[in-house]
Amino acid sequence: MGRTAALVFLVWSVMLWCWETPHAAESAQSPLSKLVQAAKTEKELTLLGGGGTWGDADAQKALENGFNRKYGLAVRIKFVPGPAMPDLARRIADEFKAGQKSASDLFLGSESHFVEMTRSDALPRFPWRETFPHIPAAMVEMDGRLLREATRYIGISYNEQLLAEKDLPRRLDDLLNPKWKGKIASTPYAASFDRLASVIGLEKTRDFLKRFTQNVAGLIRCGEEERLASGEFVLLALNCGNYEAERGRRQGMPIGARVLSDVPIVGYWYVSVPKHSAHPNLATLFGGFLLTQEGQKIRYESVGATAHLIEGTPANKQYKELQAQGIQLKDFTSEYVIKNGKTLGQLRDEFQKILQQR
Amino acid sequence: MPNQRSLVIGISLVPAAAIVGLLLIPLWISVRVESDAGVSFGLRAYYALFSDPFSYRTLFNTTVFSAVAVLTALFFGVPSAWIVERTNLPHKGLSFTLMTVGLLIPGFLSAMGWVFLLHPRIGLVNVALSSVLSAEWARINIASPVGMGFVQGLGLAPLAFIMVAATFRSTNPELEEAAAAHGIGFIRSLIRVTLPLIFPGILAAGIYILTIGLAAFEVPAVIGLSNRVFTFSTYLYTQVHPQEGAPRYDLAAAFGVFTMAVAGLLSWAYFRVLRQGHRYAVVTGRSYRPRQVGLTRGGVWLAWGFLGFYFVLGQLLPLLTLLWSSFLRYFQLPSAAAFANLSLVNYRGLPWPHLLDGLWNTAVLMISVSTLVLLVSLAISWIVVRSKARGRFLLDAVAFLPHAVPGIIFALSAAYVALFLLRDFVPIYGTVFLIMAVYILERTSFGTRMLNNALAQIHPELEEAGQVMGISLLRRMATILIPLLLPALVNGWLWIALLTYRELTIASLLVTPANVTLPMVIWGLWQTGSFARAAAAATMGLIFMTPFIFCYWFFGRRLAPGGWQA
Repeated sequence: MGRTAALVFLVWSVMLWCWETPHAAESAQSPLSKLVQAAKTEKELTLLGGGGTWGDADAQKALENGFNRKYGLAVRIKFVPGPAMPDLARRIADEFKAGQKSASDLFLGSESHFVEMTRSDALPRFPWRETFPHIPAAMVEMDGRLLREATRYIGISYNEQLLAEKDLPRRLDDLLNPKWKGKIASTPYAASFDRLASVIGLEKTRDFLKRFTQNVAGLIRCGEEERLASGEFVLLALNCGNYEAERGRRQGMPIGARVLSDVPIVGYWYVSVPKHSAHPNLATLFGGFLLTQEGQKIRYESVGATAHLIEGTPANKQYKELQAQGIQLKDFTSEYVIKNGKTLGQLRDEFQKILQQR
Repeated sequence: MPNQRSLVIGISLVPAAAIVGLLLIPLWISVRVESDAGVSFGLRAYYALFSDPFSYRTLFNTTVFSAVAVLTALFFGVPSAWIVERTNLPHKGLSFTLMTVGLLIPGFLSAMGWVFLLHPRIGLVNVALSSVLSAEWARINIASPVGMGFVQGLGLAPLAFIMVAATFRSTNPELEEAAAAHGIGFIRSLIRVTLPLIFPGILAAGIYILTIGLAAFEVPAVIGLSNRVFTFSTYLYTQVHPQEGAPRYDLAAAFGVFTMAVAGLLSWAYFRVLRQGHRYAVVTGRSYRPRQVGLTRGGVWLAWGFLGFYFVLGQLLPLLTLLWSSFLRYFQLPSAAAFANLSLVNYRGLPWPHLLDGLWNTAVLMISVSTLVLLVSLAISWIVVRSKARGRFLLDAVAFLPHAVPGIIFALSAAYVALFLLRDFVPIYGTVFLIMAVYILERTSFGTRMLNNALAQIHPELEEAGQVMGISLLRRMATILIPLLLPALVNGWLWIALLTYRELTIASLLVTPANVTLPMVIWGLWQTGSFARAAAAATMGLIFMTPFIFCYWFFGRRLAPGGWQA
C-alpha cells in the first residue's frame, strides 16, 4: 500500500509538473516581458521633434538613461530636431500612404494632429492597459490608437518681469483693456479659440475676437517663449498650455502662466506608434515608459508637462487646485476633435482671419 | 558633330522636362477639388484666392516689399561691384570677402537681429532714440513692408554685387577710352557709356532679385508674420502649415501658379533685353582688358567708406547680434545683467551628432550641386544664346521658372513625385539624392541667368573661328568658351555652393533623419522656438564654413582676369 501510494504520488507529481511548467512559464512571460524581449531585438529608436517636444540634450540623455534603466535595455535613442508637430504629423501620414517607413518611430502631438493619421488608418490599436497596468483607463483613447501623455491647461503666458501679479488678466474680458494695446500676442492659428466657442458660445467668441484683435501687436507660435522673455511681447493669449511657462522657467526665462477663470479648456498631448514605425516595439515600450512615475518625473524636469490622471504629478496637483477654485474644467479629447473636425476647421479659418486683421 | 550637339541638347532637355513635370503638379492640385462626393476639377481655389480682400492687401505688401528689396540690393550691390571691378582700389580681395561673408548667416537669424535692433519697443536703436527724443515718430518700425524690404535687400546686395561684378569685369575699355579721348568727363562717361553697357547685367540682377522678393519667406516670416504684415509667402505658409486641420494645398498651389505667371512676365522682359544682347557684346577676340579707374586718396577713402558702411550695416550688425544671442538663454539687450548671464549652455545643448551628419550632407550637396548645375546651365545657356534652335527662349523660360516659384511649392511637388510616383522605380525618398536633384533643378535658374549674361558678352567670332578651323563643338567649348567663362564659372560655382549651404525651404519638406542638412538642423531649432540654440548652431556653421570662405577669397581673386590683385 505504501509503495502503491508512493507510486501514485510520484505519477501525480510528474503529471502536475508536466502540466504546470508551461503555464508557469507563460505567466512569467507577461505582455510587458514579451514587449521588452521584442524591443531588445531593435537596437535604436528614432524620435523627431523640437526642443519643446523632447527637451534639450540633457533631457534627452535623461530620457534615454531612464528608459534603459527601467527595462534593462542598452538602446540608443536618436533624437532628431524635426519639423513642427503638424508638419511631422502630415509627413508621417504621407509616408504611410506611400508605403515608406515613418521618419519618426513614435509621434507626440496634440489632439488635433492625429486627424489625418487616423483618417489614413496609419495608427494601430494596442492593448496599453494589458501591457502597462499602471496606465489609467481614461488615458487610452480611440480603441488604443492614442495614449494621453500630458495635460495642457489653456490660458495665458506672460513675462514675469514686465507684468506684476496684480496687473494680470483674470478673465477673458480683461484682455480687452486698452492698456494691452500693442503689447500682447496671439497665435497665427488662433489656438484654442475654436474650443472656446463651444464653452462660451460662437457669437460671444466672435465678438470677443473682433475687439481683442485691436489690442494684438503680433502673432507668435506656441513654444516661442523667448519672444516673451525678451520683452518683444508681454503676454500671449491664448497659449497652448501652461506647461510652456514651466519649461521656460527651467531654461532661466522669466515666464509665468495662468488659467483664466472663464476659459476652462483642457487639451492633451498624445503619443502613438504608427503602423509603419521602423522600431515599433521599442517605440511602444517608450510610450508606456513616458507614463511611469520615472518617465513623468523626467518629462516634468525637461519640458514641464505631465499627465493629471497620474496621481502625484504636478499636473494632477494643478487640476485639484483649479477645481478647488471652482473652475469646472472641460476636456477636449482627440475623439471630440476628430468627431467635430469639419466644424472646428471652419471656426479656425474664420478666427484666424479676424486675428490677421490689423 | 551632330552627336555632340545632341549631347548638349540632351543635357539641357532632361532637367527642363523635369522642371515642367514638377511645375505641372501645382497646376493640377490647384484645379483639383476634393469633396465628400469625390474628386472633380474646377477653379474654386483661384476664386477663393482672388475673391478675398486679404489677398490684395497681401499683394500690395509683397509688391512694396519686393521693390524696396531690389532698390536696396542694387543701391549697395552696383557701386560695390564697380568699385571692386573697375577701380584700382587696393586690397580688393578683402572687399570681396566683406561683401559676401554675410551670405553664411541664415536669413532668419539676420532678421531676428534686425528685430532686436529696430523693434518699436525693445529695439536697441529705438531704445537709444527714445532716450534722446521722446516723440513717437522718432522710432523706426522695422515691421512694415518697407522695413522688411530693406532688411531683405541688405541680404540680397551680395547677389546684386556678384551678378553685376561679372558684367563690369567684361566691360569693353575701348568705348570708355574713346569717351575719354573725346574729352568726356568721368561722371558723364560713367552715366553715358559705362552704365548703358552694363545695363543688361543690372536689369538681369534686378529681375532676379525681384523674383526672389516675391517668393522670399524668411524675413517676412520672422519680422512680418509676428506683426501681422503678410506677404504672399507668409500667407502661403499659413495655408500650408496650419497648426490644426488639413493644409490648403489647393490655395498654395493656386498661389504657385500665379507666381509662375508673374515669372513668365518677368522672363519675357528679360528676354527682350537678351535678344538685343549683341549690342552689349563687349568681350571680343580683338581686345579684352577691362580698364581700371585710378582712385585718388580721397576716392580710396570714399570707396572703403561705402564698402565698410555696407559691411557694418548688412553683415556685421546681424553677425554680432547672432553671436551675442548665442551666448544667452534668451535675447536681451546689452546690460550688466545680460553680461552676467552669458554662458556656453546653448553650445553644450546642441544635438552634436545630428549637427555633424548635417554638415557632411551639406558638404556633399555643395560640391555636387554646384558642379552639376554649371554643367546643365552651360548646356542650356549655349543653346539659348549661341544656337538658332527653335524654342530656345522657351527653354530659357523653363529654366528660369524654378527661381520664381516658391521653393515650398517646388519641394511639395518633388516630395509627391518621390513618394508616390517614383517609389517603385527610383526609391530616392529620404536620400540625399532627392535633395540633390531638386537643388539642381532649382539652382539651374541661377546658373543660366549668370551664364546667359556672361555668354552674351563674349562675341561668337572666337567660336566661329574655331569652327572654321574644324574644331569640334565640345573641344571648342573646352578650349575657347570655358577659359573665357572661367571667372563667371568660378563665381557661379562658389555662389551656388553658398546658396546650397543656406537653402532650407526646399529641404524642410524633403529632409528625413537620413538626409538632414546643416541649415535644417538650425531651422529645426528655430522652428521650435529655440532661437538662442539656433544662433549657437548657426555660429558653429559659420566656423565650419571658414575654410570655404577662405577658398572663395583665395580662388576668386586669382582666377578673375584683371581683378582682385589684393
